[in-house]
Amino acid sequence: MLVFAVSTAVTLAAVGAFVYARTAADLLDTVDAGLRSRAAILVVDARANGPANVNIGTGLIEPDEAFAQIVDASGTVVRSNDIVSGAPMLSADAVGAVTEPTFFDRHIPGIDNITRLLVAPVRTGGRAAVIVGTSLQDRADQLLQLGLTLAIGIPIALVLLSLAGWLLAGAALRPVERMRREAAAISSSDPEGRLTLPPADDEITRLGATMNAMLDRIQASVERERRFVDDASHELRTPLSILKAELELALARPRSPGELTAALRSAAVETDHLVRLAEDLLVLARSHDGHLPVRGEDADLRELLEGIAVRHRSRTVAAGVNLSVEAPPAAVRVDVGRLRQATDDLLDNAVRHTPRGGQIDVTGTIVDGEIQLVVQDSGPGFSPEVLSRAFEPFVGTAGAYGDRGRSGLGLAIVRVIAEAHGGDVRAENFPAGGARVTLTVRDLG
Amino acid sequence: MRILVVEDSEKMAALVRRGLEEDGFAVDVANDADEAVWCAKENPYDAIVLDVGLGSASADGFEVCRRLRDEGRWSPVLMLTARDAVEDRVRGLDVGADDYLTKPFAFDELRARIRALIRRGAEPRPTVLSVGDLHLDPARHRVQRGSQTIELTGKEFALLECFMRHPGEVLTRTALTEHVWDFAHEGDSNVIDVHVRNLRMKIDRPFGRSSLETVRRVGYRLRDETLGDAPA
Repeated sequence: MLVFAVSTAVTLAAVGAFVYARTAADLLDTVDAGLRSRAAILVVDARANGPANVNIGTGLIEPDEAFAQIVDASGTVVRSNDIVSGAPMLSADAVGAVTEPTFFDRHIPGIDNITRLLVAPVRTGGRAAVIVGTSLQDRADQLLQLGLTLAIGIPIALVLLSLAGWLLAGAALRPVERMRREAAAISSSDPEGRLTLPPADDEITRLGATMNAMLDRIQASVERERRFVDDASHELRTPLSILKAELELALARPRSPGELTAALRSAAVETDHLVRLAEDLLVLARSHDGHLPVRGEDADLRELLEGIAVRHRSRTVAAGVNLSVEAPPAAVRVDVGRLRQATDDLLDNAVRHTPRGGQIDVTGTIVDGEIQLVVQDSGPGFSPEVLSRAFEPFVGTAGAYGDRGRSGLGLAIVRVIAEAHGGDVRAENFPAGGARVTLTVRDLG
Repeated sequence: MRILVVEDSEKMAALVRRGLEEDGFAVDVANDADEAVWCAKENPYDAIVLDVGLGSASADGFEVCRRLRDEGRWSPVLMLTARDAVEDRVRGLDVGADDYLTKPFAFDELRARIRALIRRGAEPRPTVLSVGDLHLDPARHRVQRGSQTIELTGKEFALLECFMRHPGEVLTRTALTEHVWDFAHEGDSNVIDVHVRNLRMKIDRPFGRSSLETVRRVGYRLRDETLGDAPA
């Protein structure tokens, strides 16, 4: 605010000085022009009638403001206005030195203020001259008037401008202050809060809209996290409660060795499930930090996929599903362990959803240095509500507990593995039926 | 004592059944909502252990409980859940469950809670009290005559709830005072008369009824007018 006032004051002062100087120069020009035209009239008169017969009052409206003297070749004043009749307005030497019209500023006795004189020789080379003069009193009065006006007007203008600037800035910044207060009031306990946008379409509104969009994203991500933790705790509690009940029941009364063995077996199964769940959660937690490490290893694409198919053979045979693998023998550099985990999860999913007698095709191709794995099954495909969120944690697993060895995190892990390899994964349904998941990973070589 | 276990995880269901059978209970298991409702309608269970997450979005444990109460099945319900958010517990109890246990639970606690529920018996315990076309929902703190909602003050509400829990019975001023006011209340029975008058202005007068009757020199009685005159 102070900066604004100071710069406004400097600007106003400069404008005032300029106007003052300009007016002073203009006024002098006006005075000079008047003197010149009067001198010209007198010179013409002197040439025609002789210096002694010049009509000295010609063209004068107010004789006491402008006055004239005619001096002859000897330097004697031959004609003069009454007001300056007493003495020559200019010394004979000064007049004699003038060869062309020349201005002088002199103090003349009897005349207020400085007098502006114009000396014009009657004939070129001759000593007779016309001297016209006028007091600069009027000009001085006008300049004084102007100076006073500026001296009073500029400070008033300064105050008004500063006030207007302050009010305008306040009005412009009021929405900002309100938005600041609203932003300060938004807390994690009230994630619904948003900034109220001013109606105008200006920078502040756009800033507010941008901040609201940011809050939307943060809220969505907080809710996603909350849901994840909620789901994860639910998924952990189910096997834990089975484990706890199993052990408590076994200890409740004396048991036969057979009963105890059965209880321990069941507990071991639940423990395996918990271990898998914990590992999966760890992978996801690390990927949330963006630190899921991938370690490049050289492998052959066809060998890799055929190895995975072999490991799934017993399951596919039991499920009555035909599994075929097709891939070129190509050297690739990938994190074999992670890629195997991802493919395992995809095959798990496909086997689970493919009816007896169905077909699962795993196809590996290399396109532009990227490895593409397509797992396609002949099952019913993804349900519409699952399709768009297939790779989110615990989607489509509600109550699926009982599906042994399933954490509900399989497809979510496929995605983070793909992303850790700089790739992605897509799910789609075939119009003819069946789901198709395409996993793309970048070759790490 | 016969118990119904509603649990979608077969392994968990088998464990609970085994544990309870060892205690001498007869146990039936239902794996989904429809089966649970069917079982509970066919058999007068002494208690029902109901898992909230039944794996189908359309009918979870809350829905099963609500359907049972709507059908007039009053077997005590113990809800089991892997979710322990306060709103889940509140919701469970408000749809008519009698108790709540979070997984993983101690088996001894499950047994103790089931015993406690069986002691209570299968008395009708509607979540919404109704006398004729007058309904009072304590959970939502709402009173309706027919479809019209009636605004009551806290004391009026408490008084009406007292009447609705004993429809047709004469309640003495002393009994009402004991149920609705605390020790700090000065025993001026006139206060009861004032509140009853206000209550009548809200639940009877606008509807042209006179369900809240004065029984001279004794107290008051809430009559179910749809049943005709109550015995004197």
